[in-house]
Amino acid sequence: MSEDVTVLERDPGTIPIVYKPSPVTPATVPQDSTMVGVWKLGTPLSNVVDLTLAADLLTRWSRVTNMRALSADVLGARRFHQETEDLRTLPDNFDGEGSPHYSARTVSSATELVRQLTERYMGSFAAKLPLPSVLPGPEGSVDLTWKSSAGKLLLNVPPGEAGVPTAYGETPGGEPISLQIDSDAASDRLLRWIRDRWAAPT
Amino acid sequence: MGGANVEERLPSGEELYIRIHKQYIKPRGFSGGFKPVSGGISADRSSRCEPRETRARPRKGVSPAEDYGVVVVTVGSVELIPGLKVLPAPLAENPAHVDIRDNLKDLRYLTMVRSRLESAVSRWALIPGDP
Repeated sequence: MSEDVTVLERDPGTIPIVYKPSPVTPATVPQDSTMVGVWKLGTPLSNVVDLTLAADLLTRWSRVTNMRALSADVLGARRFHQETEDLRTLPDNFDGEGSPHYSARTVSSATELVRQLTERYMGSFAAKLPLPSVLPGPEGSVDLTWKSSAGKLLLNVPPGEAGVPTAYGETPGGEPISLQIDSDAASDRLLRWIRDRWAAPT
Repeated sequence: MGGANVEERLPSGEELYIRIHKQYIKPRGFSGGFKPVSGGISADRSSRCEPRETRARPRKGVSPAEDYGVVVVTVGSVELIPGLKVLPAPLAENPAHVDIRDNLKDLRYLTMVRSRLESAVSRWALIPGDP
């Protein structure tokens, strides 16, 4: 099956996809067709390829044995996407304590921040920054969190246009970091902290 | 929020109960459940109530009490977080109530506090769905 799907990773945050049908591909797809697209991490696969093809692709992805590292990225992207969708479905007062819902604008701000940090990390250090978990934060804010045995990092994206994301990270026995992500310099400081003190967040 | 009594200090080993709705509880964290109200995070003293009482405190919606979990932190672990104090704030309907407070309206500070409170949790007294 590995020859059915070729995946080339070129740009941070995106995955170009070349897809060719296999015997298990739905009959509606001509066997001699080729699908080419670019999947932007954090967006639905259906934005890139036909929904049926996307489902088929994902179903068989684990069989692409020569793409293990990338498969982990794809699984992470699926989780990331699902978590953002879950946030969007929560109504006002979902917690019985009066909390507001998570606006599309706030969720988009969070995913855009992830995209920017991912690109910046790749550009600065030629390495991939794993996607964070997307969690409900207090009062309509969105939490992005990275956790591993090396430590944890919490990045909060407040609701509304005026809010500034804030971050707190710590490692066992290490110097924590606490800052506002209000400039490129602040982003770079956060990313350097990740690289220097916590080289392998998951 | 209750009327804080700043003169009373609680034993550092006393356990506190904090209620967290199930929607905040995810495989990779639950710090969104530490929500400040009027500058403080509400908790209950374990010496004066049971976890099920904390879980059943008044709510604004239709979520049943079973939708909440209850985590346990000690006064000492909370007060290790820079600036935080645990202040007794008994209410007429809840004499066990305390406020965990400092300047929690500062969002950068609140992010640090939530992360460290999550780390300070020693156990779950109740998880959502418990009877």
